[in-house]
Amino acid sequence: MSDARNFDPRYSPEFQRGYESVGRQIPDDQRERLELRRERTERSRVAPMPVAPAPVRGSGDGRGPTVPDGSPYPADATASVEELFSDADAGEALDEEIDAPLWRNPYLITLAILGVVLTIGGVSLFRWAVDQVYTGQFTGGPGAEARESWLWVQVAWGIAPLLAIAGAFTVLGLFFYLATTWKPRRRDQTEGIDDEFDA
Amino acid sequence: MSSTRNSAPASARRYLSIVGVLFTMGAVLVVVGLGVLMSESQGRLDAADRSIEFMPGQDELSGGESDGMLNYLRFSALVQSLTLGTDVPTYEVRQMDDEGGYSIEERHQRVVYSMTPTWHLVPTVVLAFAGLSLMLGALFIGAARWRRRHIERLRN
Repeated sequence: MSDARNFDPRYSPEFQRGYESVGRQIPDDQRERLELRRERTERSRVAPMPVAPAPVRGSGDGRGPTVPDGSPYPADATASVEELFSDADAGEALDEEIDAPLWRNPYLITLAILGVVLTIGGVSLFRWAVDQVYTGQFTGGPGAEARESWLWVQVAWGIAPLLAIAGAFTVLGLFFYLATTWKPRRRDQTEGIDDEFDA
Repeated sequence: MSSTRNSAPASARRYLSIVGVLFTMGAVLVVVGLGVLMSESQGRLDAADRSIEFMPGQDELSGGESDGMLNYLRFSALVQSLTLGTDVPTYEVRQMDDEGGYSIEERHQRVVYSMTPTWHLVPTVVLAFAGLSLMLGALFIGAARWRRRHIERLRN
């Protein structure tokens, strides 16, 4: 059969995939792209299946089909990872499947520590500066030690409030970040896949 | 497939460089801002030292025990400048009569409309605060892109 769509000659083409009526015929290249897209979509449906090594139940002689123990899926669903993730659609499905917990994000951990330290440190530093100003040691003598002490008092007086503000905004930003990235676990997706193969 | 795999490390390097450059710029701004703040504080200290000077002979007006009064006035000038954000005020010693009476007057006093002397924005701190904000922003960018980078690493 020379037709690129490869209709099965045993059945009528109207009831086979890829058949287009005369009024709706489209160019060959466009049809190939559509078929390729449809094929990728079908392949991405099996992407969320388990890819981790699982106990294998089979004939043991290497000839029979090998299926993960207890898995309801057919043998072709246990294809290699390379085959499953060979295109962009499968990659997106993998992105959803791979677990990237937020508590393992080193940037978030750093920001959380910085936020708390900046807030507490800023408030403490400002309290120290205020104590130094209103119970000042400057009147005790114009020595070099007093001058150095007052240099740091002024620096703390100026920068401590903004440290506390930056820390508070960091903590608030973390809350907003967690709120925007939080996704509830979708059980209906897994159930839908089970139903599809059970049918 | 190969293009996707080859582009992943390149994008990771680009992502790292952007975060690194932003973080480094923020760190430089913080260091420069702290330097500006310290130089301003040092200048205020020097100005407080110069806020009042006894001319030769005037020290005798107070019986030669003017150190405590001098330190008190310098301290007052420093705190006033620090809390109100004004220039450091200066004082002038004037002899009132031949019997040793004298007065100390503030030479000039700027009227500043400001909030109560509590937490307020010191202009010279803006540079350091901008640097700190840049560093924190770079960390947030890194956090937002970390998941994608983590997934790319797993895929490769």
